Amino acid sequence: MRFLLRTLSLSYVRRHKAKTLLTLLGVVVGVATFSSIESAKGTLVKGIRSTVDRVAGKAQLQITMEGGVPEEVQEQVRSLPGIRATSPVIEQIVSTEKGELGSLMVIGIDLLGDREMRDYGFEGDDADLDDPLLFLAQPDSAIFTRQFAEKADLKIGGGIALKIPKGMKRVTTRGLLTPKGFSEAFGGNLMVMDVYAAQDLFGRGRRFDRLDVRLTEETSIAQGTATLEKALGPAYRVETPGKRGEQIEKIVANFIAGFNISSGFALAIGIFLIFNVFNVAVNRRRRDIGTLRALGATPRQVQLLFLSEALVIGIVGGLLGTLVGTTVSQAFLQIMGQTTETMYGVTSSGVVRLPPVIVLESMLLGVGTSLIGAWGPALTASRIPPTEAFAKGAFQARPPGRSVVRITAGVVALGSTILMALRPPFGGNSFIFTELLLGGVGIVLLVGPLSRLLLICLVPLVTRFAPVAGRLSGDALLGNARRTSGTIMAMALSLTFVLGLGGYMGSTKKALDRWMLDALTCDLFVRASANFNRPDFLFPGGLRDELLQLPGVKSVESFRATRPLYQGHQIQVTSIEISQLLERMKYDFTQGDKGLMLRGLTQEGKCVVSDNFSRRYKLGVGQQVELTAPGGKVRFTIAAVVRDYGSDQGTVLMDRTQFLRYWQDDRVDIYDVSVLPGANVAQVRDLIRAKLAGRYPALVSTRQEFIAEITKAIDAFYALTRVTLFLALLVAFLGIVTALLISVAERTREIGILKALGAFPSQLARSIILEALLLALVGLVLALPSGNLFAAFMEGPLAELFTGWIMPHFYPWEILVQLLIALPLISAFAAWVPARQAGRLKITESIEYE
Amino acid sequence: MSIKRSCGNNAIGIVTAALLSALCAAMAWGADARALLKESENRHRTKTQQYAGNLTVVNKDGKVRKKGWKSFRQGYAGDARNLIRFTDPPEVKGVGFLSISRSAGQNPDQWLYLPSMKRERRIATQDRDASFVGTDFNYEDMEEFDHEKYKVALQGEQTVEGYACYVIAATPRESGGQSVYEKKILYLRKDILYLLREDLYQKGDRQPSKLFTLSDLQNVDGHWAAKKWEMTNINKESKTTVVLKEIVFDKPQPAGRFTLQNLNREGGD
Amino acid sequence: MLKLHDVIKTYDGKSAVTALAGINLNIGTGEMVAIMGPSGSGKSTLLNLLGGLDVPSSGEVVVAGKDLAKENEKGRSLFRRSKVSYIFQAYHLMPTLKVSQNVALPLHLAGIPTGEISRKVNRVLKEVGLEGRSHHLPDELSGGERQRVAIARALVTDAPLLLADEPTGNLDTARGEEILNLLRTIHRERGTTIVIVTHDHKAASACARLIKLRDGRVEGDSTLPGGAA
Repeated sequence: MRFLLRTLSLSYVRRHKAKTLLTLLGVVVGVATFSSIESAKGTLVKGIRSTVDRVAGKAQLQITMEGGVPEEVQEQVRSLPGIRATSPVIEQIVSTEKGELGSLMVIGIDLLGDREMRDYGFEGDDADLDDPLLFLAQPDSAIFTRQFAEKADLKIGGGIALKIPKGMKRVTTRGLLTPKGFSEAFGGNLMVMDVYAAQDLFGRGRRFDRLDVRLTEETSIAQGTATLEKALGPAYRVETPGKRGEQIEKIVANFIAGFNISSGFALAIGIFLIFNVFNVAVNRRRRDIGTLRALGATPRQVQLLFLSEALVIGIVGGLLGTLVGTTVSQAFLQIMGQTTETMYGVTSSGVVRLPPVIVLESMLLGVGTSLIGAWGPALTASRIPPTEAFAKGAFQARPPGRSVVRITAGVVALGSTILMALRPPFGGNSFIFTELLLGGVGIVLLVGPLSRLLLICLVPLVTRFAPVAGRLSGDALLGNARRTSGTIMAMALSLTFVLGLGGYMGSTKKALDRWMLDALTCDLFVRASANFNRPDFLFPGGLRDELLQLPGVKSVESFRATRPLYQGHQIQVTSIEISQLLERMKYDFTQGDKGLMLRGLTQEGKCVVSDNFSRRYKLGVGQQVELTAPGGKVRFTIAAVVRDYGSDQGTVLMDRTQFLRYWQDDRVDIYDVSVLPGANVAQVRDLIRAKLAGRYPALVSTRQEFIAEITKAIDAFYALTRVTLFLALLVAFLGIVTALLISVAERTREIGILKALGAFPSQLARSIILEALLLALVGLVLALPSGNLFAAFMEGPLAELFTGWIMPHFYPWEILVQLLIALPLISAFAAWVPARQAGRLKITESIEYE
Repeated sequence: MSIKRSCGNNAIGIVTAALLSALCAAMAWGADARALLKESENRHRTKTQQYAGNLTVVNKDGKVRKKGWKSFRQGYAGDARNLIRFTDPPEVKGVGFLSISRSAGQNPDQWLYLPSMKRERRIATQDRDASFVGTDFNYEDMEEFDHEKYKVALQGEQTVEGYACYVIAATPRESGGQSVYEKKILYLRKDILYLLREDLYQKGDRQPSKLFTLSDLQNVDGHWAAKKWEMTNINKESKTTVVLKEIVFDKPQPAGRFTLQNLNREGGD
Repeated sequence: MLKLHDVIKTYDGKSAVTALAGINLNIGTGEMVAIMGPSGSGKSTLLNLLGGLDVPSSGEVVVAGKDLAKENEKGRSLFRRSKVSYIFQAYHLMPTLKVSQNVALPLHLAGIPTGEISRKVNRVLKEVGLEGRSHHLPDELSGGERQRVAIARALVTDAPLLLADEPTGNLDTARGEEILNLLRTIHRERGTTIVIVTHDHKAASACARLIKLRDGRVEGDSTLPGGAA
């Protein structure tokens, strides 16, 4: 076997470098996509987790509360039994004037007492906090990790400007952290400052993000938790850092789960590519196989030979793919990190490390896909009877048999996929997996026969326009059913993915766009935080009166959103002056109506929930939502259910008076300002800016700007999806090139004869381009319905499973148009090399070709 | 108390009584550390004290940081109230520190005021061992020594800086609030019962980890005052020196000086 | 050596084609036989059956004491490996392998140790007069040389039966003569049973016995006087 592999396979590879390279590329792209997504994902999640752990230091428990922990709680906690130390923390992710340095995590701590919690490494051998008094006395004091300081070229006394809610803020380096433990958090992009300075800088008022607690030695975590929970009440969350890390991880995991689908598709497409290449290799080396068999090679030996080749390709491709993936994953991590930061306010930074597990998985994947892809062809090869292999003339692979069984099985698989999507028998990842698997199997089974049918219909049509080229390409495509269906399969899968995911993205975006137009109806939005999901700064509630007094202002509503946990999910609780809001905003009611909403919220102390909240938690009008306010649990009766895309986990809306009453927190995220008819919006904006200048950070956006900003954030969310779409197209492109190259190589003799009979090189080239176009067209036609099904699946059951939303379907016409323009170009481009190759063939050589 | 009881009721004549009482007192000093400390407190207690201090911190590598402060104190030991206001360098000017003793069994209330933040921050008990603004003093060191909070025992005599001294071991009482230290060895100059040195043992120390010495004693307005304090951190090999100038005793202090409001007043002395 | 009894071979297709319509044939050990017949007479089918490349639809094909119709795929592969060797009109050399590698191929398939392989390969290459060409690729050789490589590959296993399918079909007269001489020498020196399927009368005349086929039946079976004994 080794001899065969070394001599036969290796020499084949040497002779057919381009084809081998393409096969390898297929594996590499598949594996690279998988490994890059996986390792970026892993690094992100692990980074978030380890940052939580490292920042937590020796803290055993962490106390948090929606909206921040009031300062006085610290004194209260300190006096409790079993508490050894407490330390307040504020965390904020900022970027610096030097964008290339990436995000910086700012940790505000109380340097006076924090040594109980964290080991800063600026004591002992290299005492590097230059002057603690200076550090405390100057609010611009910052301590950086040595590695960050090196990257940013910072020395003690040197400064760097941070982008913070209030604008650019210069901080001065007053100390350096030795890289160990704590300072390795957030990939070392860490800045420590005084917690009270951080309060001011990031608008936390007299609140901390959390209190870290260390217990006395004789107090167990459970005892400590119980003591704290009893003393603080239900509004506070008391968790171990590990638990908190898990919680954050869970939020991010939801977002990241989407990428598993991309990974899966990249792989499936890769399998088809490999299948195709091997399939064709089998046909191509049919004579060699025949000779081998005539010389006494057993079927097993032949099969093993091909599988060994696949194994080698799998290993090499896996290795290369892992390497490429690692390189790419850094960029992926950045995109993912930015997205999770915008969406969830958490992110991690750092260098992607390739964990051995992912290397192993990627290698297994490369080998596995190669073996799976090569299995069928290898089996076919081993089954070729030697006499058939020697049959003179072109080998006409018979169309795969048992087409009735095949089609029936395909229809059944696809049918059950659709049925299951309509009425999911079970939920979770297994549901998604089953759906994708069943759907995939159905499509795979049906693509062959369907594409043949389509080609049989299409070829005469094409022949009418291009008699010679049409017939030639038709013969080529129909003549080798396996190669054709393999290519179309890869093509159809890629396009299904592109149309499906693209369609889903488009629908989601359109739904959001529509909702924004209905919901965001005031003229100016006054915000303090650029981040939509993590309030970096909150306005005091009293500012509303000041804004109301400005000339030109008609009304001001105070919007406040908090994100408490509800049944383990981070929902959004929003509040605003409802009666005013209803005057300008048009709600799309799923249950109840405007009148019920107005009366319920303003007079009866009820709430409104979003459609996805209602669906996720199976609560409707008349039922109650139990929320945890600082004073304890409060139950709100649902007055109406409205369409709302504010949070993917569900939104509860209440009147501001209710929020003030139960939450005792008058701070405001956004002031919605409407101007008087005829007033100049720009002027009012200038007035607001002047009013707030120097006091609060203020981003004053017009309605258009605000919508544009949100749109930008949504686009950022889909950035990575776009990358995977592109990869899918790339794989499809590779598939066409491979198939055509092989088609030309296989028909060398035929092409030689055609040339001998007087065919022009241009005619041959045209026929090959036509072949490419036909492949792409059939792929696209098949992908249209399956892409639609996929999109419907994502918009319907999948979206509902994860978010509770059922997205209205909008057909992705733009993508279809883009594909209709791009595909012919891409396939023509893919056909270029093989077409040239065919044109250049020398007649004598090609006729002798064996 | 025991001294008075044993000597005060002596039936022998007044002269004898007077003589004896002096003798008894002398003998009692030798026997009772508490009495010595009490006497020391009695002798050196002043109503108020104020001074300007020059602070120098020299670390292991010889790096020197200097600061200036003004200190005001009302009361003494267990009833002391102390306000420190930094005056120099300009970056730390206005930083204030207020320490108010509380009744026995409780640690004093301490606050640090930072003008840039326009707010005070309370020093929690857990932070008493933290360095006081980067010096070798911690927040506990910034309290006035109050022997009532310690169990004391006379351990012998020793010469310090050429002066004969009583050596007294002081261990914090559990009822005296939390202490950073396990033990303090006090060196009390025999002739004037003035504290010249403290060896400070932190929890688990076999050797003192810090040494506090008072030198350059001068008599100001009839009160002894050490014009130079030195705190040496043996482990960290760093030393903090405070040189006291403009010492004034018993000058009446404004009523509101030792309050949070005053601490938080910009530049308020 | 070869015994065919009532061998029928039909191919199923849109309409069934009978390639062999009841062949009875005996070929003894050490014979050198030519099979001739027009296109479609069933020559190649017969050869495939003899070599165990194909199985009859009915009847017995006993080669070297083995009924090939009863053997499974693996059994027939092992049979081919040890008992039969082939020469084809189109040579069927592995285009990517060097001459020596091509010759060594059947030995590798049989799992013979490497040292023995190279010894055997060198010997047969010498026998066919190609010892100087062992490092060439088939493309670099003339047609006659290629066919000699194929013969060397056939000889290397020392199989008692050699089947040749139009061995001179692609060669000019002189080269064809060379190959026939080589085959005769092999027959003489090794005593190998040789069956040649050919259109070429010259090739047929090199044999001692001529079997003529027509429409899947034996039309004639005669001894040739000038052929190899």
